[in-house]
Amino acid sequence: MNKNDTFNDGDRLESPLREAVDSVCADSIPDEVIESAVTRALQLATPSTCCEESTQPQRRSRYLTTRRWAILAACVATVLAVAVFWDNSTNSVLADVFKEVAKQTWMHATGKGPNDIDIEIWFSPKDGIVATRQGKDVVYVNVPQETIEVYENVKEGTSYLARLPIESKQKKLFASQEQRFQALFFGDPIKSLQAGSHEIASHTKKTVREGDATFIEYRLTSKAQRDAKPVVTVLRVDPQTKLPVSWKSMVGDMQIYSCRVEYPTHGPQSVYAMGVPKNVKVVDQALSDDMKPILAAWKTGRTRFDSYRAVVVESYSADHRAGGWLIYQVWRKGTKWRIERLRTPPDIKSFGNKEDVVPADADPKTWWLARGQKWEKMPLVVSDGTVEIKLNYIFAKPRRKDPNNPHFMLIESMKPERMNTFRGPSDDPQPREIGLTPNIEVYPALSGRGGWHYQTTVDPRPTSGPEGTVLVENLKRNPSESPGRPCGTRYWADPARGYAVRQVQYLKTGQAEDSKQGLVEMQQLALSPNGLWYPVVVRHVKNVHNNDGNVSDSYSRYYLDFEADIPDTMFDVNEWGPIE
Amino acid sequence: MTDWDAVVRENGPAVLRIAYRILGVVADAEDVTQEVFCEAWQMHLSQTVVNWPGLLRRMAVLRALDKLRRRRPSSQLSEIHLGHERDGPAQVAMARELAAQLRDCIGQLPQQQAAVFSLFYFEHLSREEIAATVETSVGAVSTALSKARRTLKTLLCEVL
Repeated sequence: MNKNDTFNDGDRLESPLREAVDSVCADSIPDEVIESAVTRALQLATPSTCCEESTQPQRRSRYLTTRRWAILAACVATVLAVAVFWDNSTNSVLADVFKEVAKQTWMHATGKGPNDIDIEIWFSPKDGIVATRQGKDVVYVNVPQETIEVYENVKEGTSYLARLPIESKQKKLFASQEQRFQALFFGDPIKSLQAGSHEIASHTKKTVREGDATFIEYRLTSKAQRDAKPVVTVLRVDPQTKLPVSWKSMVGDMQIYSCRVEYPTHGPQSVYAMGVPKNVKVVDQALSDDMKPILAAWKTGRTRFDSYRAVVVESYSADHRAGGWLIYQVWRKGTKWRIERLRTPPDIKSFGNKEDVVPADADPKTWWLARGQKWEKMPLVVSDGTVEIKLNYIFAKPRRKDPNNPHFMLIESMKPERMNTFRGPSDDPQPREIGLTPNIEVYPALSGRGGWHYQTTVDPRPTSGPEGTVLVENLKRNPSESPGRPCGTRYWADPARGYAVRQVQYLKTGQAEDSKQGLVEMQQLALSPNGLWYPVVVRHVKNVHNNDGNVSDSYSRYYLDFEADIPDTMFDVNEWGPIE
Repeated sequence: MTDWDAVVRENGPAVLRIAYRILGVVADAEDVTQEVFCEAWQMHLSQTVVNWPGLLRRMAVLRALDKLRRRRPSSQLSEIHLGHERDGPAQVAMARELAAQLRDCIGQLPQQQAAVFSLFYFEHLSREEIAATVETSVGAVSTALSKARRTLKTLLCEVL
């Protein structure tokens, strides 16, 4: 355990302290979180030998210290926003300005962006090209060609140019809204990813003089969402040409953007004109034709699955007549879901020789579904399709058994914690506890798909996995060098079953190619009344570490009731229900 | 002259990890990391630091313990555990609960004991490294470690 040689017998911990320490040490922090923290720390101070002033570190808000990839993602959103915006903004308070800009061949803005980084933006309304450079990172969007190119200058030798398709959904996302204009000029590119959430709280217009020059100054205050700080944008327009000449964006006292604008006749016709090295490795991230039907089928399975009530039993056995050590009830209706923990009654031992098992003459499905109705329920996760909350159990102190059910510790209260907010509104919100929602288990969403940190490939004839399946591999492009970190996922999808996933493997760095670590097998599938598949028995290969040092499998068994009465009140994230 | 970027890059992950293991919440650990480097930068301007790793570890553990004590006790769930972890739910739930309880108990220890325990068992530093980090003797580290173990064992047994 200890790297040093001073660790002696006296230092060995006894149970339960040993297990508690192991639990803390087993927690790992994702690479991107570490990277983000280091980036933030680096931004606290920028020591310079040529600059003597302002050496005090400045604390930066999280808004400004978003992860590098998020800033790049925001650039993509920004440039898309601009591209679409100009054609759809005739009703804006700035309509005259937009019309004049739309007549220009090129607009070129230069200045400072987030974290005082040099920023450059090119926009051609006529050619449908938008390009940005923040520091050395470049995003180049060609709307007619429907491509986004992203160059992330990580370090010499590892940089690459990722080429991504513009999705139709992205186009719609940024269409015909004044707030899309904010994405660029109002200093809120990051939040522009959360389309539909911008609001202009107020705006003013006045004439200002600076030296001999006169400008029309628009001051617009916008908010991305209820809790966000307002962004104030000051846009100066030449009253003669009606063209913007400069703008600033601020959050509170903090300046986010400050740019000057020119209107040249020529601009960058390719990403290389933005300073991207000509010999950089190009990675085409466009989805292959093989991938499209699979993704479409998975989305159908996630969004169009029948409403259901399910009892989900976790245990060491695939046998439907065995008991379970954790039992849940899951409710799903459209884009809403609710997960409850079912509590074994006090007269039944949940562990040991007298655990509850299905009688030999009973139908397991009927029997387990009846347990879902009879047993005490504790809400665990609730989502109305726009927000997902997790209910944290606050235990009584000192900790003691619940007098009404000694199987469990006494819970004093529950504290809701928001885990997810689905922007949009999204038609495809996804629960965090994917293993408990049967339709998401077989119709997953690819994490990072379309992102430049992931590479997705399809192998129509894999040498591994269930017969007749195709292999979808979604791998991190630059995984951590440390062992045991998540680095991608393999899905074996079955074309004969509407591309339902028959097997999944959650990969970690350092594991052998033929390792079964992280493998999940759908051992039995069934059809819903609407003709979509769901798992009945799922085997998690070697994921339970036993006290004797051995590793064994665990199983999830799903019992679905498609005729249950499911009132909408069950999914109210504010009234999630009392402890029964 | 100190290469500040190198100091941050080399020690940032360790600072974050220390804070996270003590606090169990990524956002809080990030805040501590920011505080530590903010403070460290000011030190860097006014004095010569010989042992950056030691200093930063010490600051990380102390700031994290301060934050832990200020925090209202609750069983917070860290978001990073919720994604694709495929351990058995019972195991995950029990591990989270145990870890949360341990953190609560560490928050009740005297600062020196809490710091020594965290650095020894979470960061696997030797007694000598800890002594250098918290600026005390090796003997004092051993004493603090022993007391911390004993107190934590008692506290944990009370709450479990």
